[in-house]
Amino acid sequence: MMFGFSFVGKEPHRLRHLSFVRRGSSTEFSEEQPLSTGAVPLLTKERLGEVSTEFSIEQPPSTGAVPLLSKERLGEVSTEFSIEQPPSTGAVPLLTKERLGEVSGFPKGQPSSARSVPLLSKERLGEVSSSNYRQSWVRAIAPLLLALCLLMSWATPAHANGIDQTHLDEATQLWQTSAHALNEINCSSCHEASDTNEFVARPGIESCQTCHQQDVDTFLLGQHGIRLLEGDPPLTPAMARLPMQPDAMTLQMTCNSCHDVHSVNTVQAAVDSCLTCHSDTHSLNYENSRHAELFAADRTLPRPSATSVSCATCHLPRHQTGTGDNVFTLVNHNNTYTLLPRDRMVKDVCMNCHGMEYSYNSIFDDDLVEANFDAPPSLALETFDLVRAFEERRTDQGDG
Amino acid sequence: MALRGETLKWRSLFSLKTAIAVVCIALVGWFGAAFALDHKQVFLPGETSVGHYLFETSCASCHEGFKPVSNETCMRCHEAEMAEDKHGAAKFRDPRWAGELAKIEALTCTTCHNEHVHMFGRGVHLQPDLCMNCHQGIIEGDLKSHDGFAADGCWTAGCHNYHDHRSISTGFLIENLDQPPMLPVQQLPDRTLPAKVETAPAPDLRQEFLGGGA
Repeated sequence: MMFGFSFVGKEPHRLRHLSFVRRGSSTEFSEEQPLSTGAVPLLTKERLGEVSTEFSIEQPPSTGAVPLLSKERLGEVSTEFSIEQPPSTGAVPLLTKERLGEVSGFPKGQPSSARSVPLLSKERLGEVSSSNYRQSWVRAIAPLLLALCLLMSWATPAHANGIDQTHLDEATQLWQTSAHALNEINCSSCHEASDTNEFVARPGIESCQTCHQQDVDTFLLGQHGIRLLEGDPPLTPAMARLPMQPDAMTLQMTCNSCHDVHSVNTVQAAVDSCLTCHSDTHSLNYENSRHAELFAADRTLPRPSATSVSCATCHLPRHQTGTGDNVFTLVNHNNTYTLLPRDRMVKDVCMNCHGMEYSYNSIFDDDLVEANFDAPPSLALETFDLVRAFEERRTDQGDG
Repeated sequence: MALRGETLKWRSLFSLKTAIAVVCIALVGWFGAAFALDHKQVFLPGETSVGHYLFETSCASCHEGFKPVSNETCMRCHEAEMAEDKHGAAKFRDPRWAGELAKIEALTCTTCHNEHVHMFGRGVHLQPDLCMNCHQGIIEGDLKSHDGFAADGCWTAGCHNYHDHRSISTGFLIENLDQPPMLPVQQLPDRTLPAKVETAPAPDLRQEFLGGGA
């Protein structure tokens, strides 16, 4: 059955196709409106940088999930750690994606989910186009620049840093209030090879592993990380059998796909990062659940509290290890571990807060799982009646 | 006769031997190219299970040449799931249960968990009534509460976990019966990170990021 067609390669072809679709926004534009000068204002240095880093193959796609740098966010985080805000943050507005959106009149997206603001969407290209339509020389150059832009997105050399001053300032600001900075994890801790002291523009999973061994070890055993463990290229949503967001199909799964490594804010990693890719009904219904209501209170924290329930609470659960004064909390990054059999989830996760029967009656109700537990369970498993009857018989015999 | 034979030979050569040779060369080329170009999907004998399909072209992850897949291979990844294996070697070393191994070779992962074949769930390819190899009595009078239960429901209905009884044994259920929907204390493990310093140190790299030297 596999001989005839699978040689053509399911994955590589599909991938190529999808990555083309992603870039397609600009391609379509050039085909449909060949005379438009639309693209030109976009091709500033910054944008070229952005486009090429955003779409280049070797770039980890995490940039999409990076929380945008709004003033409020900076304020929140810095008060959290009671640190004076660096003078530059307030005074010089940085060229964030959010700000770009403002300038071009594009409606602001939700600050924490970058997926709602596609960088190179058709609408945005079109909008800017109307303003400079008449400059004919630009019209002539536009397709060339556009082609160049596409070419760069394909062929950014592996060693180009692709970082400009804006990105650098943004990352530095995020880092300054992070748990990393306050534990003296400086730029060079990750951006320099430990043996050769050579500069590393985009540190990979090995870099995280030097400190976060347990997290990486467990990550590599789950569906998210198993391809890396087995020496394959990272997982992309296009390979998934579950429904995934169409915009996210080419994103690659590594540490910084979910974690903003500069802010080290795990509130974002606990829900928003998941929803960047996952679009099945269970995932999409999370926001309607009581769990999500609890989580809303955590939005301003650097990491989820002990009383809220996020995606990660159940799918990448915390567990405590060590004894006495040396108890510390680890996160199991094996995202598959608590999925099946379902009793694993019940014991490790649900029963931190819920009674045993309530937990089992909920988790074996497939409709309730789909609805992401938006109501108390209606199921009443017969098992508990059996166990109750068994226990009664046993105590009766004991009494007699 | 000779002439006619020659003509026939030539024709049969063309239609059969050449065809076979061409097909062989094509197949060898096909597989060789598939191997060389890393399109190893062609070698898959069937559909890969949901747990393993993401690395199904990484043959060496499980296979060492054509040797049977060993338990050690499985345990590279599944150690956590097997931490408290209730049907592990310890159980079958006990003389009371050792004889059961004649009914089903329960100490080899692949006895129940084959790959590239049809699965009934949880990566199990054996018929769902596999428990009946040893536990037929349970549904036939040995355990009153289970009289008349379906032979294929033990694990497919979610009630029993072959490897791990920690959260679904009778003892565990009895211990936790009649709990309220919300436990009195609802508390997940907290995670606090101490800070070594109060303010961030100065960033120790800068020009490097912009392409300049130190």
